[in-house]
Amino acid sequence: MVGALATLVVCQLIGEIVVHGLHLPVPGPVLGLLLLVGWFALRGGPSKEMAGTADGILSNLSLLFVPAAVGIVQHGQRFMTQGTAIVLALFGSSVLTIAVTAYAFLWADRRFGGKAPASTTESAGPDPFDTDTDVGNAGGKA
Amino acid sequence: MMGKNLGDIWVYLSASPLLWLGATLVAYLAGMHIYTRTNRNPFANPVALATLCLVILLLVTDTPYTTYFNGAQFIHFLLGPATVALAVPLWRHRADVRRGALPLAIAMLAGSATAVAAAVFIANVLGADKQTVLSLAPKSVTTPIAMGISERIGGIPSLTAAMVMVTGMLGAVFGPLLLRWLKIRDDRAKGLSMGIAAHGVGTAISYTMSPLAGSFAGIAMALNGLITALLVPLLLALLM
Repeated sequence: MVGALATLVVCQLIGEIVVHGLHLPVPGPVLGLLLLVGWFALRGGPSKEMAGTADGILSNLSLLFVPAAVGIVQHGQRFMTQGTAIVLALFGSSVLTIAVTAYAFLWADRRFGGKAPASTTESAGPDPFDTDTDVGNAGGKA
Repeated sequence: MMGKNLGDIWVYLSASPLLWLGATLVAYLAGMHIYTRTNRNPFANPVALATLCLVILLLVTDTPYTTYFNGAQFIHFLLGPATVALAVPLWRHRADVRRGALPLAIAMLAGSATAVAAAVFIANVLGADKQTVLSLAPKSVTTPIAMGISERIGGIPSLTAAMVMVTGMLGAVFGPLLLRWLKIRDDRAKGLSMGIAAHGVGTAISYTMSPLAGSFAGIAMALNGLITALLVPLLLALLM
């Protein structure tokens, strides 16, 4: 637990240092996420301890939103004056995003995918069905 | 006499981080309890309920947000490591991601760009001020990443966090209705669109549709954080 927590914090720390040092437009924790994925690739996956700690944190993710959400108390004035614009922007954008994403995926999957739907099963080893390169297959098999 | 003692206790507690740390945990547990008791009604979102309780409490006791945050920061701090921890689900679903990599990338790019551009455009047209628009731009991303982006581009991170919450609720309530209305039947498409539009809240809803939809929503949520972080500065340069 402590080891996994240390790994998470150190990944974030390295991410923050790199982001601030190089003035990258990406938040430090995002770079930390990528670093950790890279680390898993080198190590052949997360340790049991890391998997358990990550699952523990992520299953309580909602709690972590609360302190920031309470910050809305500072913006009462802004919601009074611009509330309509804010809510309509959020609603309109959500509806458009859902429609665009779903149709874009269906189109691209027909055009470039063409294989059987991905499964939810977690294959630990190399994927036996991954022998042909479906990624660059622009011809499409419909 | 009693009143004076209570007053003393209040003075002591209100200066200590313990009070608001405890209040946050209790409010969240109460919110979770109500959420489960109402059969996970999206309108009874636990974060929204806990936030409402705490906001009322702050207003009634005339406590400034900085005092509250002094205690709640210990919970807030974990958002960074939690973001890094998203590497674990991403790693677990790497086979799914690789298999559908190109359609997934195309849908992610289209969805991320739409989420940012539509929000910025609508808010601009309706006359929101610059800080509001900047704070709106990353609203479809999960909170820790959204707040980080907001800070970088000159928005108000706490305002962004509030908008992320509202976005999640809107997506959770209207997303499934919209998908049904659009006759989208592919679970991967459903999950992706919910994860991109409504981050963690959308992911939770997608898991109730099917495990496949849920895992694609989780992938979408994690990747959307990355893509939006890169896209937002570009799109803002074009739109503002």
